[in-house]
Amino acid sequence: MTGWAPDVSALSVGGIALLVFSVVWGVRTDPQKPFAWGMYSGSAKGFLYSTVENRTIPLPLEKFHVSPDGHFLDPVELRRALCVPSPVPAFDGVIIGSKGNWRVAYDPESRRLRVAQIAHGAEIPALTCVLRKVE
Amino acid sequence: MSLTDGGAGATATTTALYCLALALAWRTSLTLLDSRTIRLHHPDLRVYRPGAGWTHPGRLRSRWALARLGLLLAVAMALAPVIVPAPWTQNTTLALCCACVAWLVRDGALDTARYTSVCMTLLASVLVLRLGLPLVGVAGTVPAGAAASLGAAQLYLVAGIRKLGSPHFMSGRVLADNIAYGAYQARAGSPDFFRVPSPQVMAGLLEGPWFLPLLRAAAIGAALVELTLGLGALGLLPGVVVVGLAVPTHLAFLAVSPRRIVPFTVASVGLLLIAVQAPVLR
Repeated sequence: MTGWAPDVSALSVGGIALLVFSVVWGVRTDPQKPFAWGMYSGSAKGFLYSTVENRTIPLPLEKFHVSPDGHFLDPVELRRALCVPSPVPAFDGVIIGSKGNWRVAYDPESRRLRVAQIAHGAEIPALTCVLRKVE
Repeated sequence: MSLTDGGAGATATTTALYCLALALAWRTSLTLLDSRTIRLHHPDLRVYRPGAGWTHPGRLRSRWALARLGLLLAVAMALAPVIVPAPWTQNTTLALCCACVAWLVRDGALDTARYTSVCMTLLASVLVLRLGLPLVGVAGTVPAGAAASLGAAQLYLVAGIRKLGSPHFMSGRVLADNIAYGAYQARAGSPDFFRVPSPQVMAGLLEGPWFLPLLRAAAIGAALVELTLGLGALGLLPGVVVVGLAVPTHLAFLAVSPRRIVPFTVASVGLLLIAVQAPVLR
């Protein structure tokens, strides 16, 4: 059964106007909001490891209580993840990302996370050093 | 099997439906696999989700129960066009798509609505339009195509513009950081990433002369392709070109996040398939 088909030109003009508004809004709003589509325009990744009997072991996410899909990590989020009564092993590492690059070190006895900014331009050598170290 | 009137439109609609079913099945399977990991390592069901805070055990259990229901829904969506007899195929599929929209809304209430949820909801909604409007005497192709066209255009234009405006992305560093992270997490035992290259090989690539320039070129290309897809989804390019460009682009991003990005990949391709049937500028 054929049905009524809408007026294409009115749909086009109205649609394009709505599109322009929604694109401008999407680009300017918080990238985490729906329809803001900020995926991969930035990143923050943690390369954390523990040293056990002179062996450098990369830490999986569950060791510091981050969910299995928690692949975005900056120092603020890492600090929040460490606010748990359960033990977290001592670890070192680097966080590399769009908003900055840091060396991190966690001491479980004092429950203190030390964070030190990596100088601009030194992040790739810092990262490759960690990548070469792990077993 | 025939959804709607046959021909290329029916093929595109059916393929888009299968894209939605696959996205839902994959997404719910990931949630259920994550539930096993969480139960194994965190019996108190308290884990930290960056950007969303600490999980609440009750909410997690609700989300897992909803995921089991979603997986059944995905299987039903995939089987309906094949096993439901012809007079009832379209209405059954329509009902399942409506159920999918409701599922996505409920899941979004339990979990922060992210890119994948929004893209899947867009696709499910345009399929509801496509299959449902004929029931009230309105041809579904044009409204569904226009809605998909605008939704896909907004998606790709915003994503492309954001990438162009990100120096970290345009330098290739986002891609490099993500590939390095994948290699590192794979070594740590994460099933989310490929085990190649190894972290040591990755270090060599980063220190070498050609890897970062190659990723810079790939980043520029990705941003430009996304803008092209956005304009193409409006009808400024032939549909076969739009879909032909989208598939390898999304496959390339699978190299960065092979497991978690699959639902978004198939949902956005499904959205484009509906969009190119009747783009808003045609």
